[in-house]
Amino acid sequence: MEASITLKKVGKLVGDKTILAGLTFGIEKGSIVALVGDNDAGKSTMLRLLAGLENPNYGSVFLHGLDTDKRRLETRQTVGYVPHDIDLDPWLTLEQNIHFDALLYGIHMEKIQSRIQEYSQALAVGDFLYSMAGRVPQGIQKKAMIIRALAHDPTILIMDEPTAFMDAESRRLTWNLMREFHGDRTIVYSSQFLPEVEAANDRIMVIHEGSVLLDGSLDKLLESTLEYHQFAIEFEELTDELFDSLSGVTTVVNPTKMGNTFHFYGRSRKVFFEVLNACSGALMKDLSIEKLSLQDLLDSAFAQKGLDG
Amino acid sequence: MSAFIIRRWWLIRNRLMSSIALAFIVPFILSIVTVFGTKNIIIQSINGQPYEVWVLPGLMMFMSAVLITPLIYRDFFDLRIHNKALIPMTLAPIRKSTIILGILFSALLEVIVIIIIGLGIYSVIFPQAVAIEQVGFIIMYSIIFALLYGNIIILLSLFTERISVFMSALLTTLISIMFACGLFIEFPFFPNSMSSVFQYFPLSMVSVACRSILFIGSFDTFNTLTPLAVTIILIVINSFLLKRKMKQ
Repeated sequence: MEASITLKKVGKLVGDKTILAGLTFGIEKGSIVALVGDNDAGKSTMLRLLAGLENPNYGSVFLHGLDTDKRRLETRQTVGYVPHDIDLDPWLTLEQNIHFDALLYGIHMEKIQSRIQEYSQALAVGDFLYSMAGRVPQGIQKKAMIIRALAHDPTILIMDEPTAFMDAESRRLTWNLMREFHGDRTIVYSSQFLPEVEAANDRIMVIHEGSVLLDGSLDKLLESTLEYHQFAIEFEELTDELFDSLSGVTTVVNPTKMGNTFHFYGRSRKVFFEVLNACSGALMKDLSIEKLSLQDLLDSAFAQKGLDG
Repeated sequence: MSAFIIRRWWLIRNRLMSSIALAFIVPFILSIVTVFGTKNIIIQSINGQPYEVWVLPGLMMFMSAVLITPLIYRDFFDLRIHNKALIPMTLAPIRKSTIILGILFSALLEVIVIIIIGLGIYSVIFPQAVAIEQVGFIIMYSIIFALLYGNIIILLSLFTERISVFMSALLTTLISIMFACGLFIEFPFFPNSMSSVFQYFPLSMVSVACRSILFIGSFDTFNTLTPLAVTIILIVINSFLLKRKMKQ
């Protein structure tokens, strides 16, 4: 398939610190790509680079084959960007904010009006369109920012936490609209809300310390972890000695203690019985076994070591 | 450019009552406080003009500076340091110089309207001071003054990151232009060494050129074109600075 976005050895430094380290990858046209990772992993910086809000220190970003540095004005026409923080002018109404931005892209008044009507209806913003931006809830402002990003009809939509500040209904409406664009517009977004990422993606990129740690579809990423299970055993009393003893079982991965509950990962259910043997009679109150989710995949040390520890 | 003018109109319309109040209160207060007392100290200018006549161009230029300051401050300092509307503007497929000129010229339109109101108010307070054939020149030179001063404030807004620094620099600039640019006090009132420096400030040149055409009847090419040239240079510098500040 045709690449919509291409990064070639893109790096970003702030002082001595490497924010993004020589990234090279492509994103297919019309796909939905989710960026996930810890705070300060480099997700927002990557999105700002893609949107043209910042320049890389080295390497090149191409949008539809055009170098964003050399063909700046052309590439900007193709991108819609929704930052994480609210950046509307508080002294203008939501409609005026959207309208002004679209005028800067040279869009005709009638087109702007029809798009504002269409998207505000889809996102249920209509009642607030003519309210001053500074006086409406942040979730509504965020939806207006999405409409603003769409008003010039971009083929690439870059969104940093697009549903931040939104209630459940607004999140649902937002993702319904995004799914309508699937296949037509390339959508790259970051989110800390993992159920949202699990529901809306063609591809997930796990970013860690400025590098792509994992990259693929949700199924592909979880495929190699399917044998893994997450176990939790609640004891009457989980002493430090008992925790050390259980952690010492060779098949136990990434053990943690939360109160009197012993959490760990294991490749097969057999590990559970090995842990039981190591308990040597300690009184158990409850236990649970779950398959891994994206959250588990991202769990710090576990994710950092890769899928197989 | 039209997008910026529409935006300016929306900003005025959204705070219409305060805009109208401001348009009358600012010219009235500035006219009263700067002229009534001073004209009893400086009865007439060195070439014999009554003070209230001589000061009019300087008062209008100072008024344009006072009026354009909050508009520039808001767009280039307040919105920038709070990561508001300036960021999406810089993402649009337009040049940084277009953003500078768009914000500057749209602010200038608002200032021109208030300057015209100010001239009307001044003609009521001092009926003999405003000659209708001079109004066009006063407005034209006030525009040149506001363009140059606006660019200086843009430069200041883009250079500073803290409100305390910005305010100190702004007040110093305003007081300096009030006294050292020949707006309210003629240069010969200063010691020779100082006045010979002050009169070559680009902002001073505007007031000198304006009074030259109003009171001597000669068009001062050097003092008119030099401030315009400095304005163009500042637009280029500000465009570059905006690009740097936005890391683009």
